Amino acid sequence: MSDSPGVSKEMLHQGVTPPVAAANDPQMESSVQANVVPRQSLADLDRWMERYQQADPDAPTALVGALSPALLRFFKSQVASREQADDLLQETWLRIHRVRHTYRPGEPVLPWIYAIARRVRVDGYRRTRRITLREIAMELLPERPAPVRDRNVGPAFDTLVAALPEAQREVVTMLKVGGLTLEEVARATSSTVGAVKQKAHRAYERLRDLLQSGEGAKGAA
Amino acid sequence: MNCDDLARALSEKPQLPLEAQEHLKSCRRCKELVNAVNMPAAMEAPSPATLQQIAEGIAINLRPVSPVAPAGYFFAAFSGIFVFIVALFVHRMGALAIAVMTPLETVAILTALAVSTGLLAYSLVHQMIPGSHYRISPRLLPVGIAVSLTIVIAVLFQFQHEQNFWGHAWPCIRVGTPIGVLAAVPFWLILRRGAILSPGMTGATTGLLAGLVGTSVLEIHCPNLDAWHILVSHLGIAMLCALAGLIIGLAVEVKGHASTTRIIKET
Repeated sequence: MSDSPGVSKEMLHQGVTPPVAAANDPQMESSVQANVVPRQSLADLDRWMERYQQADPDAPTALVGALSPALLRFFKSQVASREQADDLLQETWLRIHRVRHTYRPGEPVLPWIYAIARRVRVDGYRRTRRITLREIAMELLPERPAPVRDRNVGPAFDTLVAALPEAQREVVTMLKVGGLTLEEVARATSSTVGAVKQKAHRAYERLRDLLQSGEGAKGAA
Repeated sequence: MNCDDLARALSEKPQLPLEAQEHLKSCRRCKELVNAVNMPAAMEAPSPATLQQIAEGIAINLRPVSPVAPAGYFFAAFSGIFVFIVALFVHRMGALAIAVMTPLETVAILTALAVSTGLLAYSLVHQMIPGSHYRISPRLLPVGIAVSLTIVIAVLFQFQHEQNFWGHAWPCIRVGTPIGVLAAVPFWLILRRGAILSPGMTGATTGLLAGLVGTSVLEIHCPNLDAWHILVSHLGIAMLCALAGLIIGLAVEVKGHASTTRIIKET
């Protein structure tokens, strides 16, 4: 990996989880990180994506390690369980692998990745709904224990955005968790910048109202 | 700056401007909002085993691939196929309508068809590549084009009440529909080179483009200038093909889900 475009050094400096480090560091699993993927590391992702197309064996590890945490968070904010989010993450990478030739070098990587992830999420949602409709409830399951949080800190991001309509939740998650710009969110959602801006604006207004009325905080308690 | 302006600034820029930061000092509601959305959160990272499994799974079948051709190449291919098929059938059937239409009608209808074709081809080129930049919403485009062409035809041609409406309409539908179906084949072959993320939407767009091939052939060939006839038996073919494309696309989506569900159940 000595000739790699900076995965072991640059990504570590810029806060992106290097795959090898993540694999060796058990604390990474529950580490506290900023919401947003650092923009500086995105140039590296572009280069890794090109190397992935050229079948560089280091590229899958680098890309999977750098992008999966944010992708998992994206899925977790949209679906209920961690298991489903893990399944969607794996399916996303399989689809990315299948259509990797459709990435054009020089184009931004994140909208390309998130457009695929978004489609996987939609398909996953429909699939889950179909299975759920066919399942017969045998008994009531115990309620999941609510996550314990510090009362002085506000509600968790995921809990907060859960109160938003799906389209607004998706936009806010991409902006705040994926670190995408408005233009990139528009690309990922096959939409226009104006429409994304409007959704984000409405989402923030709604979140402010929720915070004021205390619903968001209740959800986290 | 008020609370509404702050929400707008938050949705437009990653870094809040100075005025917004000043507002935050005096507004508790907005401060709570900004803190909540920017708060560092406990990130549940995927387990190292999962990451390794994914990376290894991908690396096993890793072969070099060539990136897809530039957008202009596909746009030229879609447009070229469209023009070629229209020219081929007009050459065989004759351009009888050109002789009976006024120059204004000829220019206006052909321009409307050309613009519609260009916009649909442009949209398809972007739908093939995930994360493409859209200036017009790809969901609204087919509807917008169908409505626009209906208006253009209603404005340009007169509504007459033909004695034997379906007797005249049926031959046009019978000729135009197979042309649309024929055009859909090369369009589909081009689309296969990309990644279709929304088969329903892409199916409707492709169907409309293929149907417009049939519509264009009939607009140049059929000398019947009754607006009802043109709307039903010329533009109707494009609508019919768009509907067929939408249904096929949705069927592909459902089939994809069903097969994935089966795989998951089996595993």
